[in-house]
Amino acid sequence: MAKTRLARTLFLAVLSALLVVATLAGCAQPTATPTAKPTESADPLAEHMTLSIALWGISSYLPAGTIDKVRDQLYEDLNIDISPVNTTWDDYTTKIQIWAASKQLPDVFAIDAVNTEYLAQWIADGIVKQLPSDYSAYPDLKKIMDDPSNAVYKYPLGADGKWYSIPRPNYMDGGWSTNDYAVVLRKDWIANLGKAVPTTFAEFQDLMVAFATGDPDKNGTNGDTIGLTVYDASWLGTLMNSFEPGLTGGDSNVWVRDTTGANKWIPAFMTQGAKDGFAAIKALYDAGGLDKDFATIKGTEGEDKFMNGQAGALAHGGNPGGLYGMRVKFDQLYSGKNWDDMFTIMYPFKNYKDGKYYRYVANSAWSESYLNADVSDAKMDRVLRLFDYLFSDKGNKLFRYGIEGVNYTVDGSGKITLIPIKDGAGNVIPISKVYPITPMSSLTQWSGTGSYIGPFVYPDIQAQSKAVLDWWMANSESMATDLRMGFIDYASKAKATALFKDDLVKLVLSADSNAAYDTLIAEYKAAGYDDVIKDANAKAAELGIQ
Amino acid sequence: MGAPGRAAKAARNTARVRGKGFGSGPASHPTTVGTVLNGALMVLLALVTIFPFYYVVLIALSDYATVHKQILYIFPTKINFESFRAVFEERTFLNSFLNSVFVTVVGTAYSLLISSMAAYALSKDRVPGHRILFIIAIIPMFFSGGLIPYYLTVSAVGLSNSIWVMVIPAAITTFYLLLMKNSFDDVPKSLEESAKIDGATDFTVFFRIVLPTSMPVIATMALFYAVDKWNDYYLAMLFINDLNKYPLQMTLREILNNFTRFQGTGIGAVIQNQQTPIVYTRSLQMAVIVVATVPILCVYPFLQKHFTKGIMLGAVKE
Repeated sequence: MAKTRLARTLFLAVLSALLVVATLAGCAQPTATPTAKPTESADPLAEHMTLSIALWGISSYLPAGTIDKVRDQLYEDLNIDISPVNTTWDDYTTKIQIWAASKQLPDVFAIDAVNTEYLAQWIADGIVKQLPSDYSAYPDLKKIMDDPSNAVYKYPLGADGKWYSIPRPNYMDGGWSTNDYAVVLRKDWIANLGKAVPTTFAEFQDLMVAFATGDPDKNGTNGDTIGLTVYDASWLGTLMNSFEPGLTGGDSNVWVRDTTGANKWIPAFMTQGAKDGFAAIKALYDAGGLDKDFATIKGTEGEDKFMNGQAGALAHGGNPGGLYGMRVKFDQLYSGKNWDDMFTIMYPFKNYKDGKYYRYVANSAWSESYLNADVSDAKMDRVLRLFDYLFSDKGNKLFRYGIEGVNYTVDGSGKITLIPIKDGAGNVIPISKVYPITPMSSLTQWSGTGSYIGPFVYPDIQAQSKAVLDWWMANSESMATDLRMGFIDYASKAKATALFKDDLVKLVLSADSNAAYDTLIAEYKAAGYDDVIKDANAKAAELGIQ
Repeated sequence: MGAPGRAAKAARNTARVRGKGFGSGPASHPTTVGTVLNGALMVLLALVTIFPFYYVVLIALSDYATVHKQILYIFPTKINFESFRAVFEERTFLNSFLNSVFVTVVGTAYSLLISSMAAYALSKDRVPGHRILFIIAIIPMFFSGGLIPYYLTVSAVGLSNSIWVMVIPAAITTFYLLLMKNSFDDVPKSLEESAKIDGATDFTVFFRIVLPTSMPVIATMALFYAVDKWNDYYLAMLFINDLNKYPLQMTLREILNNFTRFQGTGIGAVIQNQQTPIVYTRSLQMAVIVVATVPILCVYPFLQKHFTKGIMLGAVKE
């Protein structure tokens, strides 16, 4: 009996121990990452460093155990290796905020945090590292930091004129943003109706009404098609260009200099041009030229309507990236036809007051990179060299096209010709499959510039888009703004809550857009916009922004 | 009504009564308008229930042109496996599938063991402080410690970037613990007492008497835990950075995100020379639903017989 009891006791002890061991096994401490010490060598790259970087999808760019000559060259050139810290498009903000709160941030992390309260708090609490003001040691990075459209990143909430982040630009020239907003037309429908591509807003309205009431698709039924549809209501900003260029991007946080009155900065949506532009879009809607569902369209619904042949025009991007989704669908829906025969980008209209063309200028960056405040100066230097490398011509080509002579060639004029690598079935293998690290170019920049000037998947839409962009740059002048106005920090900034899309929908669906506009502006002023304008102008005067 | 009429009515009633029993033959089911309506209603309900699943599979097997050239799309006119190909060709797919299987199997077993032992202890009045322990167990159902303390705690015990983070911190779901406790409350005390008289210890009683007699609730909880663990992505999203340790749900989300961005219009969607495969996004979404759902659906038939009985156990306290 005593033996049995002892055996039971032993059994229970072993079972309990196993449970504890199993639990603790899962709780094993991870190996600590060695911290790099500041280099004391004259060669700034002498010491090997491991950089932990949080970026969307970075783990898939650096898979363990794979051969990647681009990665190897980067590591060799900068004497680094990268420890990827993965974030995804759904969770990056949550994750980074948790890491910041728990002091577990990686060395470098990507997020869009400008003008947020939490960034101001990170700066105040010393969570993110202040970057140097002198970038002369990093010449290609310097070009980015010196660009006026990027320099605005010194002014967001809490930054107070100091650099805390490296912006992630889409274009190397902020003026190229103007072509991000356009109307794409069914060229064949225009021909079917015996009309021409419109050059004024009145002609445009006439065409849209004809699309909606006539039989542009030649199916024998009048009125079963739509005139203009949208990707989202905010894309109607493109129609505001000839009235108030500052609203082209559908952003109520764009400021323009009002020279008609007290010569001060005001939000672009408060100008007379804005009022007239809203009225014009309302007139288009009332005439039946605008999709009745424009206010609620989301996702790719509008794009689908346009590509399926339900609508004759789409307000969306005119850049290669914006056209790309349409072009993919075109291949599936209109096999055997030419894109150029069916679709065209509408060129801009002259300003309704002075007859000039004004291009929209925007900060083309979306999101930025920050450094953990615990990063040493030596490591920060290596991070900045990494960014400099990726912005350089050498790094750019390496990450976009692969190895010179193997994946591409450059002729005497600088033209790049890709050498496609094909699989056994003759299909081209994407460069990102050959060198998984290449999409990591998004650490420093988006592909806007490259999509215009480099090899592109669809040369037809690239050429069409580039022609419009070239036209813009040759025939228009920049709108009168200072991009810093949207970034500077002032006391009443939290009261600047206007949203272009909401206001547009409200005005277009009102009985009288002019009266509704006056009421809306009065309400905004009563809600604090008078303070916003006063404080923003005071801050602008302090910073010398005229 | 005459006698023959009454007899016929009685016969009809008898047939109806007989017809209510399982196994009664077709002869005892006279076709009436009510039966037809009832059948039609059942068919309609079945269609309403099944159609969403059918539509998911239909769209998953379709390409953009097939769907968008038709206003109403009910029957497949062209089968396209590109979406499934895109899912299965993902480099980390197999790995993440195995991770999910591991988390589901090991996590469910671990959760069942810990939860059932805790529930049994809480169901015993003689356990010192069991009422306080019970209240402590219930508190997390209503109040959370907050995300940051949770993150710090889990990180501090070294579970960050470990697949065990989906097993250990999520070992007990309080609601399931309560269901088990209520079920164990209903096990007759005389059973345990007789086992004790025969020399059984608490563990013997638990493993050899209580658990076997509570199979319905154990099977039901196993199914609940398994579904939870199969579907879980939140803990992985918070704590796991290594793609090779991602569960299937995270990988599927990544696939969807990446395709949506490449083929949508988001900033930086186009990287020249990347040439992603042309896949219809909605088709891909539906393929992801199929891939995520079918494996765990396969578990149901094996536990179905216990399920109805199990979920009712502990529901009524006498």
